[in-house]
Amino acid sequence: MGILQANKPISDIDTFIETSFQCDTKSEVNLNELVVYSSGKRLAEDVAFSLCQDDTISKQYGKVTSYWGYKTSDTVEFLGKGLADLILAKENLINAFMAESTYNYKAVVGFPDYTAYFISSKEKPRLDKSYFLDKRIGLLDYPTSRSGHILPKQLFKKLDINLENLDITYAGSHSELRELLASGKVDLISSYWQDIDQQRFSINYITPISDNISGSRWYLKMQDENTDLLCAVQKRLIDLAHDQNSHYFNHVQSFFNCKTQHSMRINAEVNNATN
Amino acid sequence: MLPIRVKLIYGCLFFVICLVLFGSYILAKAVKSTENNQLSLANIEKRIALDLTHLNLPDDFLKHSGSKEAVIDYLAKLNSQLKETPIFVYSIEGITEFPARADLIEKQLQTPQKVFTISFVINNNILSKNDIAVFILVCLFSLAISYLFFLSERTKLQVAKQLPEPEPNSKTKPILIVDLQNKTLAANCSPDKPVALANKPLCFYLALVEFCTENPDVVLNQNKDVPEELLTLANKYFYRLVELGHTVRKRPNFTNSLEKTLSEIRAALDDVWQDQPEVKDVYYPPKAHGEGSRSRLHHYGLKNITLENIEVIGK
Repeated sequence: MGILQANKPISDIDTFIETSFQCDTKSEVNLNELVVYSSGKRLAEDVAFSLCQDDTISKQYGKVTSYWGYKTSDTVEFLGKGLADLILAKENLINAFMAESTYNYKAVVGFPDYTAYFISSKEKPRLDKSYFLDKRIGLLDYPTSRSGHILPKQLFKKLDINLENLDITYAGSHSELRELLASGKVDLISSYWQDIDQQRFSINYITPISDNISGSRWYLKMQDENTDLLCAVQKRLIDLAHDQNSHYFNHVQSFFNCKTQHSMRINAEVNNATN
Repeated sequence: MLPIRVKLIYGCLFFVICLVLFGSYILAKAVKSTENNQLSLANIEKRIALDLTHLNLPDDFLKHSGSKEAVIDYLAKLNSQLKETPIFVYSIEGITEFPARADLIEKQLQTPQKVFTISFVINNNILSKNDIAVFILVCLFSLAISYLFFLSERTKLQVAKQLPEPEPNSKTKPILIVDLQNKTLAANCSPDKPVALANKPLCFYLALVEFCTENPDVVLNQNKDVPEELLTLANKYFYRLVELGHTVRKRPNFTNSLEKTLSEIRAALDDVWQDQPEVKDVYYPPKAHGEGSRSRLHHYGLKNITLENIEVIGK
């Protein structure tokens, strides 16, 4: 009886980490799958959900599978091997893998260029060697980040500062960097500036490192002249961007003029008819 | 009402049975639980090991800070699957949302690059709600067993009581055994101490016993002649002795020196019943007391004797 009353052993635990989200388009019989890759779970789900509602996409695909990355290496795999049909990536990575020429990735929409800053909580940072040497500096730990990793390190190199001599703390995200600065664990961080930062930090205490950093862009693999798909995806992504609360993401820029394409086509048809 | 000692014994019996049953129950449960917890632990470790690549853990070598929230979120999801077990995962690589505690079980997961430390907590609650029900069941069972024991013991006692009862009657009731072959008198309670008696008193005593049982109303007085019937009986016993080869002499005259014969009989009986003088009266030919000892009223017969009081061997 005691044996029966004992704690039961747990059988195999099902996996519960999600790496992708899948939805069916309006034509479920279609076996084609549109693969999307983006940076986070929320975004991946929103994009997939929006694309599944689209009529044009339903004509071409039966389902949309949206992956999101856990590590920097995931982005490298997806981009470098051309696994995704639609991918959110930074220009520097696309260039590094020559993805535009290798897989015909075409930019669909992009977010505005921005400026990288050193942000401090107590004074306006100066860009000279002596200033940085006794400071605790917060940087991002992923090497693909320009504002939080590449550009500040380039600046240190330019100022002839050995990284070994700097007190650098690495953070996993831009928001973690802001936490570090707000809690006083670092003296300055390297990041972009957004309006909401005014609440915790002063705009007077930021110093630009480099401007005109191109924002992330959505790229679509265009192996055919599938402009209908391009325009449908572009419209959906622009709508999604406008729904965001962020001023930065609202200012989305389209890289393909679907209206002229459309009007050109109509003109051509009219010409053919008149001819 | 039962005596306190018996109550105590059965109370102890009840507690011992309770203790043994419940003890073995708890022991079996504890042993099996430990075994099953190890299995669960192995399964949880396997899950974490498989998920390691998807966990945003800090890595000093790669200068990766990791994400505390992501790991805590993972722990919460994992622990929600472990609700059925007494185990929960406390931390992975020291990342936890729980307050510090000392009873942690640490396990190491070795990967080619790194060793990951995971700590678990096992809530070893040996007693649970169900155990109360089991305890009540055990109590009832012990009660039943104790009662059965009590019943069987009582029946045994009753049987034992009923059996020996007739024995002491036969044993305690003293009987005089007269052995004609050895010419001895003996008490049945000490047959190894026979008392020898001469031919004449022996024959006369046996005749007297027989005569008194058959004629309880006849008064035997020393001043009168010995009745014929008594003499006939005495002669009969004497012939029996002759048959058994004890004597070749001629038949004695039982009427002569009657007082001497009675004295010899009394002396022999005194020896036989020296341990139980209270029994003697039945067998003892009464003595004449005081001045009126030769009175006509004196009766030397045995008033209370019956054939059950005496056993004659070789009659």
